[in-house]
Formats: sequence, C-alpha cells, structure tokens
Amino acid sequence: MNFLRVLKNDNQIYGETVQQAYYPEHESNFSIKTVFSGSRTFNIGKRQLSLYPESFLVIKKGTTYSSKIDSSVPVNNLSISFSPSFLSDFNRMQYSDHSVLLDEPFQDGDMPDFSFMETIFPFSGDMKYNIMHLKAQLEEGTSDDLLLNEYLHHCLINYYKVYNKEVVDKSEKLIFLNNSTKVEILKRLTFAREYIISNYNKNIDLEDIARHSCLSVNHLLRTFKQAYGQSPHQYLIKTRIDRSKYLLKNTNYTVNEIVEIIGFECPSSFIRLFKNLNKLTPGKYRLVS
Amino acid sequence: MLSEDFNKNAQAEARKPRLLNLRVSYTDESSIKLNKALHYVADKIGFKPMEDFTFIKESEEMRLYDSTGNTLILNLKKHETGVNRNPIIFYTDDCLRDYHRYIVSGVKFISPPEYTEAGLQVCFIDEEDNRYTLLEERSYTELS
Repeated sequence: MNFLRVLKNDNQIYGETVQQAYYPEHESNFSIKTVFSGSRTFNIGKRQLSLYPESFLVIKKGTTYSSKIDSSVPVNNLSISFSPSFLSDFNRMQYSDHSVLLDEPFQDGDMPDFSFMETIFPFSGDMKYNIMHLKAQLEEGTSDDLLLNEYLHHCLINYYKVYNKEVVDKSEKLIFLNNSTKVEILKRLTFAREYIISNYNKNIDLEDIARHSCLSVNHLLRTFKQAYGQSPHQYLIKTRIDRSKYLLKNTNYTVNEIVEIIGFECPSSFIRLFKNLNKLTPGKYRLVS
Repeated sequence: MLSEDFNKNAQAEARKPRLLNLRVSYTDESSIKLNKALHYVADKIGFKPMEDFTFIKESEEMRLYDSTGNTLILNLKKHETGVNRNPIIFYTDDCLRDYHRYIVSGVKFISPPEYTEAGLQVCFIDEEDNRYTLLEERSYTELS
C-alpha cells in the first residue's frame, strides 16, 4: 500500500512498495528511513550505502542525497521526515527542566546536535515495534494526527536510545584521550561498518574496508575491535548470518539459495557456522521462527 | 430511513459483529477489585454489555455480549505480586494506540508511557484512584 501523510505540524510519513524507482537528489529534513523487504541504495555525498530490513537510516537536516530501488522483489519502504520545529521541541524537552519549558515555551535556542552521526543503525527492539505499529496505523488509514505524532515522538525517544548505545557507548570504548580524535575515529569506523553492511554479500577484504574508512589496516583492526568488540571480519560474518536469519524467516528461498545470496562460498560451512552461533541449524531456525 | 451510503462496503463492514479480546492478569489480593476494574475498562473501550456481569474468582475466561452482536472475551490469569508491578494489568498489542484511545475516552494516566524490561507500559487510575497498568509485552531477545 502506498501513502503520503503530511501532518498539520509538517511531519511527513511516506510509504510505498516498488521494485524499481529512482529518487533524484534533494535536500532533506531530519529523516528516518526503513525497508521491510528487499533493499534501497542511498548516495549521500561520496558515500553509497544499502539499506536492508535489519537496519534503519538516519539522515540529517540539510543533507542532500539521492536513492534508488532496483530489486527482483517488491521493496516495501517507509520514510519519516520530522519538521524542524517538532524536532527542536523534542530536543528542548530532553534537555530543559520544566521551569525553563514553562518560562520560554516557544524559544528554540541552541540545542545539542544529537544527529551528527548520519548512518545506519540496527532496526530492532522498541524502534522496530513502534515503527511497525505506526505503519499498521497508516495502512489502516488512520486520520488521527495526534496518534501519529505520538508514534513519531516515540521514534525519537527510541532513536536517542539507539544513538546512545551505538555511538556514545562505542565512542567511550575508544582509548584516546582527545575527544575530537575519538569522534573522528568513530566517524571513520562508521564508514567501515556501513561499507561492510552495504557490501556484505561481496568478496570484500580488509584492505577494501580500510581504504573506504580512510584508516590503515592495523589502525582499523585495533580501533574497530575496541569500539565494536569484534574484528571487521567477525562483523561481516555476523551481518551475513543476520541477513540469512531474515531470509529464512521471511522468504521461501532454499538454504542453498540463501548461501549464494549472502555471499558464502559453501553451504556446509554456512550451516556449521550458523549452528555454532545460534545453536540451531538453518532449517530448524526456519521452522521455529 | 436508510442513508444513501447504506450499501457502501465501509458501512457494511462497520456493522459486522466484532470479536474483541482483552487479556488481564491480577494478583490474588487484587481479585476483589477485579470486578470493578473490568467494568471500568469495558466502559472506557465503549463496550456496553447486554447484562451486568460479575467476575467469579478463579474463572479464566468470560464472554460478554452487547446488543449489536459484538463479543468481548476476557482472558484472565493470575500473576505473582511484584515490587514494581500494579496488581491488575491489562495487556495490549499496541500500548501507544490504546493509551491515546483511553485518553480520548477520559481515562486519567499518572505518567507517560515508559519502557521497561517487559515492554512498553503506562499506568492509569479509575475514579476511586485504583491503579492499573496497560502493558504491551515486547520481546527483546532475538531467537538464537
């Protein structure tokens, strides 16, 4: 089902299912983007990243990007664009106490920019629950702006939590004294992570990842492990296994087809690894999920 | 007189009898208050039973009918008393949706929805200040 809802406060929610589409370059408000099947490719500056159902993408206000869907299966995707006033009001709520909010109800002021890390984040937990509920309401055709804004408010709460876990906590694990170095390293590690997720099914190696993230191989290995608790290779394997779980759960592809899709070379090593990590064979996982 | 859109699908759909499910859990000590709680919530969700009803201790399911053919199935279960747990919990599959609907029907909430280990929940009170929880259980562990 395709829909575009523009709420009275200019928040916008757009959903559609397409197999081929091109969205030309345009400037965005602060946005959250998800896909529920297939994938969508984004070009943000020099970066190209692919969005799969296990992740959501956050785009900052003012960023220019284009995107493309070219898929053999229908791609169901949903984009939420937050109006600047809704976002700044939310920020004020987080950072100001009630007396300030009462004294200066309409003042925007300088609020901390919590959206500096424009990247893909894991789409799970409360964020997923709330967006799935929001989508269900839109598909039922609800006309209640207040209810839709309630979901959007909670999307921001959930994004804060994910951001803290994926950015703030990870940056604290980096052993650098200088704060600006930490931020720069984390940005580059984010490029590495994006590159792995976007190219998970290709034959990528450490040199590719290092080049893409502007870090030397040794620097990448050391800092990636500090931040994410695993090596880039382990992260790549985990990404592939997570994709295989999605495909086992949501499609009718055979295990051999899935092995090919996720870029594994041989089914037996995939099955062995899957069982080691999940305590279940892929076949049993499909049955119980 | 029939309205001109009587035969439209939406109207026909709206007139189809509905089957509503409401899952409730309660502690042993709260069972005496459960009857009041069930009446309160049935009223707030707009369900007007044809006959008055009384919760009978230990019953696990109650079926209520209204005059338009709708059925409300109450699934009742006991839970253990807990420190941060209200004695009577109403379960939902979408806490924000029901929070919003309850507000519209005049229910008073004592705080905004909050995230807990069990899921998203919000507490409300009836006219006698009895506290209840509306809980959307969520699973945060991936099948592994």
